[in-house]
Amino acid sequence: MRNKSYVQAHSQTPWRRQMQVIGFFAAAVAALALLAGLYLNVTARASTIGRHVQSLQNERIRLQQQIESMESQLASLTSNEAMQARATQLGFAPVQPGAVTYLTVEGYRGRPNLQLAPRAGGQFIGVPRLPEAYTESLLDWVGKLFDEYGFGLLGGY
Amino acid sequence: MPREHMWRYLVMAAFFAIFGSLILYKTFSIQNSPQAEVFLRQGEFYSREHDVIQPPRGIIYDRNGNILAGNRTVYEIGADLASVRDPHAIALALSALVGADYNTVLERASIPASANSVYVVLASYVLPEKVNLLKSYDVTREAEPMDSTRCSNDPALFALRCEAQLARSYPERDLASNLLGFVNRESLGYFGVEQQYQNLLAGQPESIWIPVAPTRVQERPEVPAGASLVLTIDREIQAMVEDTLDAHITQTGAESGTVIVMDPKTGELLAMASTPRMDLNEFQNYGDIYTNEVPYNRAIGEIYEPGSIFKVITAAAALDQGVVTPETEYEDRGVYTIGGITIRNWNNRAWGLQTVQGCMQHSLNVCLAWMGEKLGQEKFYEYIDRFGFGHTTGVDMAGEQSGTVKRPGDPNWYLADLGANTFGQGIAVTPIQMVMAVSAFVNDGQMVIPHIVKAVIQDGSQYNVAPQFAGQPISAETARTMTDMLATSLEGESSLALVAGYRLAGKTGTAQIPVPTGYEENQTNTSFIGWGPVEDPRFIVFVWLERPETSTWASEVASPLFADIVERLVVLQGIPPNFQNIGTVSNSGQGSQQ
Repeated sequence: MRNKSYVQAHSQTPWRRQMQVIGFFAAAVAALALLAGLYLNVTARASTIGRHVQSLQNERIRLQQQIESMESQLASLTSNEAMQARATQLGFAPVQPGAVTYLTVEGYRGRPNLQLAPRAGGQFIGVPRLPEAYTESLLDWVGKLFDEYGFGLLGGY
Repeated sequence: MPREHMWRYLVMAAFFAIFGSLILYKTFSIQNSPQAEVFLRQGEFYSREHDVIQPPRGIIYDRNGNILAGNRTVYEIGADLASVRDPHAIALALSALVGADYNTVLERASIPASANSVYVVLASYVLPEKVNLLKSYDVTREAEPMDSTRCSNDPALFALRCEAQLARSYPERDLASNLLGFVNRESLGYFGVEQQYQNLLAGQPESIWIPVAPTRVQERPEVPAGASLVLTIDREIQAMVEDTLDAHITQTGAESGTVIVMDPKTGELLAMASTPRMDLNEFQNYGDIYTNEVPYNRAIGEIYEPGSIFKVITAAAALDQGVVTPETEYEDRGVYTIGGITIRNWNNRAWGLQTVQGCMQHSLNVCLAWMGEKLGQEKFYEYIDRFGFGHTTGVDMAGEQSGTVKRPGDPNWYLADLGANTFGQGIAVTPIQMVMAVSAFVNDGQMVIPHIVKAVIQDGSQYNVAPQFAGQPISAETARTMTDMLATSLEGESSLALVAGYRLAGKTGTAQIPVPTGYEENQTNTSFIGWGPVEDPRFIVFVWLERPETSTWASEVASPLFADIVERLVVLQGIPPNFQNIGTVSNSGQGSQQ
């Protein structure tokens, strides 16, 4: 009898049990809301960045078109006809064959061939290369240190 | 929980269970229904937009890097039909500022928006200056920025969309138009280099799907631009040649003219001009300029009977076969009968005892017909083939003709043809064929194939084009003999083709023009082909004036054109004079080479 009353003395009151259930439920809802909020936030940011990327891509296309267009405009401004007109305006006249004095320059081979891009199959020596520091990983760097200071013997004979 | 309320919970639970099950069932049945595939396709379709990335067309440069064909921005103006408020306002604005047809625009802009009619194109190829006017149409408002697709700042024109795109641009306008060709609005190349290298220049368009959802945005693929071309043409030489040709056409009253300048050692074409020409930016005028099947580029696309310039081929064949030497003598009696026809000299007179050198110097038809017969028909036509006549040269431009050569065994060939062919009648060639054939005289007997592309720039690398040779029709010794003989001929005749300070070799050609009933009276084709300096040739120059009015003789109209071009060419090429011409004469002189 004493034992039974002891158990009853420590049992939860009904309102506390209800509060526990409600609390767990509320916590679950809050966790879900947090997840949804995070998802919404990430999605919204991804969307904004996505739109930004799209607009940058469009901008790049527009700039490429603009560059092409401006190159053509420049070519029009420096066309043979335009240059002749400007030369005439400045008082120049086409040279007459008899008025030309030729000077022989030893070793001069005339105007070199036009080179607008590196020749196929080879690269010019003068092309700048990115320093290794920008491309090597930490492991590469450590490996290089080992090699440099003779620790490479660890892996050798 | 009171037990008496339990049934309410059970009813609610059953309701939600049944409702949820129904939803699941419907979802499952839709996914497995025959329409599922249609829904999937629709979902896929509306989740992305189709786009074709058109790479910019490759640029065409001259040999010094001057742009001959580039790209410029133009706009396509269209209307978002659902947003059109006032079609009349749109039609009025576009007709006033862009030059579009009012009725056409009105008709298109009045189309009611529907699932099948969302957008209409109202004007294309609109220049940026005109779009700029539209962007600031409403002066009371701030102008719409150029990078916005909205065409105008006027609320009545808000439905208009301006899409920028690239179109072909020719900064030099009509310069070198005959060899460049043009590109139409569908980005297809026509004639010349533009057509020949269409695939290379246009690049490979890429079709892509762009997701509508911004969260699924993907990087647009990098579509490489079309390959760019560096031509062998020199802009300054080309301009000089065109100007000189035009001046001589005006001066002689010729119907048309053609000039080719080639580096004889590499086959690089330095200039190629013919008439008519057109401003390539206004290619829509093509039909008005090139009427009555006029070839776009006569240098490669028109065949003609070359006349006496062809004698160099006959003489080279005879010398190469050892049938004659420059000193071989021939008694010219003024007539020669072969295959039932009588051949006469250009002045109808007999020239008496002549060497082969003299025959070439005085351009004697009778002597050449004798030489041809002595060589024999089999050998003669073998050399015609070896020199490439009757075949295209392979020059890298669209529209090349192969010419017409009748050979023994052909149903319409007669022995008389052999006689006529020896002095360039009864055979039709293109100017470029003559230039390629004559290159053998400069390259120790080897013929170089003419070409117009010097280098191709693709994917960031430059591929240079190496010279190619088309066989060796004659020996090196024959080539040198011919050059020397023709240089001596010019000097001996005090030809109008001579240029002070430079030793040149060449030959005039005055040819009758064939018509269905025979040959035209008092109308000729006059041409000249020459090269120099003889010691180290740097150029072959071919000129042709069709039906000149001031004179019918090549020595009087074609030779001066050749000399004028060479006189300026040596300056532009920086070739110093190193030869004392004995026979140089003023332009009033006259030789007997016809």
